[in-house]
Amino acid sequence: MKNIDAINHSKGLSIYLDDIPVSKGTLYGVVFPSPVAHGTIKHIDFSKALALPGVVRILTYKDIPGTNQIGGIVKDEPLLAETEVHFAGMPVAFVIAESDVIARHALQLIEISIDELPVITDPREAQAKGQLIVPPRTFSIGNTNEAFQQCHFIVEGSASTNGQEHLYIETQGAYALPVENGGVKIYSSTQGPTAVQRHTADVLGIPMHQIEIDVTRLGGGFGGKEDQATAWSALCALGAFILKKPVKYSLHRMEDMRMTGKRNPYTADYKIGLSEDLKILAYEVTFYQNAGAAADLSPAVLERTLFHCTNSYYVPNVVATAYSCKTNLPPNTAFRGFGGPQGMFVIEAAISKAAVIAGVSAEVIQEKNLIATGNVFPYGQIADSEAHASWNLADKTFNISNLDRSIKTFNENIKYFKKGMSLMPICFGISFTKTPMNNARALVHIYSDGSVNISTGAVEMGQGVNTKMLQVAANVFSIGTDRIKLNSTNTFRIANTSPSAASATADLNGAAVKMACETLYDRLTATAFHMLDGVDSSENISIVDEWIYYNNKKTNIHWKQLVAEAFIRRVNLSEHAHYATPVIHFDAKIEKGHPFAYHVYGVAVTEVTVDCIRGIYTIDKVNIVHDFGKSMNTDIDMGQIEGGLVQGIGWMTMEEIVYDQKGILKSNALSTYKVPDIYSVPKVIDIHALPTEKENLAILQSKAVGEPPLMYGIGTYFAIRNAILAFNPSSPVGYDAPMTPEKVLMALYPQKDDETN
Amino acid sequence: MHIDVSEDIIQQCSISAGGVNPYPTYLTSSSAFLKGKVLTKENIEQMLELVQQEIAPISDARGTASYKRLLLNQLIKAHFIKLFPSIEW
Repeated sequence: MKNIDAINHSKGLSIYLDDIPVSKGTLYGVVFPSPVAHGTIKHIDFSKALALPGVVRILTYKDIPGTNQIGGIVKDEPLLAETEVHFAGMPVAFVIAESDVIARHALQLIEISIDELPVITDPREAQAKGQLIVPPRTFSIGNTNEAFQQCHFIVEGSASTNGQEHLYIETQGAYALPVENGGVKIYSSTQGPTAVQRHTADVLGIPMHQIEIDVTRLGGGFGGKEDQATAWSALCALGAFILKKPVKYSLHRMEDMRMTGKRNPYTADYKIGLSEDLKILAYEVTFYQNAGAAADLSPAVLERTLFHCTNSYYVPNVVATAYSCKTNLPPNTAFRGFGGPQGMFVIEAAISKAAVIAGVSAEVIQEKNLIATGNVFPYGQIADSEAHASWNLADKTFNISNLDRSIKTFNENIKYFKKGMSLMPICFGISFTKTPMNNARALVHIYSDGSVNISTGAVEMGQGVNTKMLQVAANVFSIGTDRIKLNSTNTFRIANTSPSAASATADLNGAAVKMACETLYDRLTATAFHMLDGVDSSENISIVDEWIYYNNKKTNIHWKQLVAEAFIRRVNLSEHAHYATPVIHFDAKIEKGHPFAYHVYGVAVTEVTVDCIRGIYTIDKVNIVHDFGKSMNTDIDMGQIEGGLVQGIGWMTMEEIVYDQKGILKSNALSTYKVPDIYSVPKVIDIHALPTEKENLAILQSKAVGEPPLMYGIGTYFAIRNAILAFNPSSPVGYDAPMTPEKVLMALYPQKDDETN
Repeated sequence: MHIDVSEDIIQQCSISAGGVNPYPTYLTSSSAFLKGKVLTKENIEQMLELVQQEIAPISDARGTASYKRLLLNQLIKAHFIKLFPSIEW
């Protein structure tokens, strides 16, 4: 089934925040951000800005009636700076004017003097100075000290990954309207409507039931609007609450890039030990996460790094420690993969380096150590593995040894172009790692004309979750999809939602939709019992393609008649259902449990060509075997895999976030921050489904697909690296993503006084 | 880059480059150096050394100065590799 938004998207008819018709008297807000990364505010002069015609009000922390705090996991993030600023771009004041042009003009007229304090941008420096967001965490299993004694090969090293801009097409924004009795209605471009509601209530000092959040859809989120949509909503709400007028703020791209956090950069040190027959016996790793200036979601991201530090390999002895390091950068946050990719990159680097020492290609070590069903992950969960099955199908389908040979032949014959390949197995756990978040609700109304309206806690952000919700309902009721409509996500209809994140949105909300629809289905078949002659039980009544069947025989009762009859009989045609994922649990005291409902597996085989004169590269082909379970919508799921892969490739190759030493973002526009375009995506993406009949906890057996494919992109890094080494076997190329054309050229031609990687 | 070669003698060569000086630059000395010279690896390499003296790239979000120097070197070299495959590098 095609995405239900496809036609409206194509025609430009879909409604985003900026498409909502504005009410008369709407005012426009814009944030005045800190110009420096760390300092004490000595003085601010708003007088010239306030004198500008059309400027209505400039709000500071002093205007906040509730608490000046929007921190989610840790209460360490003021909405507006008080006396200190902790990152360049930190909101200091909120200018409200009659137009956004006037508001932005007023920004230029604000005078601020700040006594600058030392700036830290490097997570290792922060850790050394004790600047941590939360205490470090360690996952361990077995005994690495003893295991290293048994190892034939021991390799140590470091690996780093940079951040990544979310670059949702729709920037952050909110539109707040005052409602009667001191409440506020907010249209927000957020993945977490409840977080926006909760924090706005705290800021305004009023109960959550006074704050209505409504989300029709987002023009992309990728994690960037999970926690970081809150500030703009709270500021607009503050303006609406105080001025009793609607206030809107839709961020300019450069404001968005400057003020919002990104994927957490990481740097890590590892030590890996292998037996003579290349079994990984021990792995020790220490991660330094660059959290930025406040916790945001970084502690949770850190946790997932630990969960995925061994990727899809079985390692019996592991010690993995992670530090969440406080720096003077915008608070980094959720981004597709949520720390998992950062963890996986390091073990892939360790395997790559170990392969050199052992004199084999990395694939040999990878294959030998794939996790098998019954093996235990370092956090105690027992694997139900598809790792070998995925690998074997990839080998059979794409003939890896043939590819390896053809690449060697190419490289022997062509002087200035070199090919490289890599295999990238993935294993990604599905569920929020914080167990209490794994629940959702759905509200299903059947109207008396037979049409159906569904509300869930899921936020549609292009991932197609609404289409999947519709499919679930159509599947249970056995009615046409044109009879079903998905509503906006609204905190007054569905309360206490978890954010649309962790790839789990369709699973959680879909299960709630299914439960609600099944309850309604039972009520309707019980109603049909009264409408049919000679029927002794409602058990053999079913609905098939909108017609009522009894004992598998079609009757003359249609869905519409059945619903109309139920209405007359005062049957409840609405249902609100609640789903909580069974089985899962995790005890953070001992760092053990069964945190994931299931894992998604897969393998990517990547082939690249590097132009060894210029240092540029093309990604020739990415062949993927992916564990869909049983995909309920192959159009959407294939799109998610292609998009995730390309986003992962961007993170690993061309997307380079640059801050200067004073913590000022230099890659602050699309001219200096390059994301994959049509010319840089793989020429061929070939995705094969891994056939499986295994039961799983996914909605309709269709496994979560949002995040896992991003990690296929890691393979591109290693393929390019292999091509560099084919040209220059003595290249000092390290493990420091992204592999930009600059890094490639410098690695091909190492300069005497230059660090290449 | 423009180059005019007749019987292994470089009649005329013009090279300009962007992104390596405050404004796009015609590399006067480098271009002049090759005029009348025999097309050899050695002469091209000497010219490439002159190129490095005619540029003053800065490190910024678009790349480090050393990368911009190396890249220009490689881009000019790429022309000779493509146009004159008989030169052994």
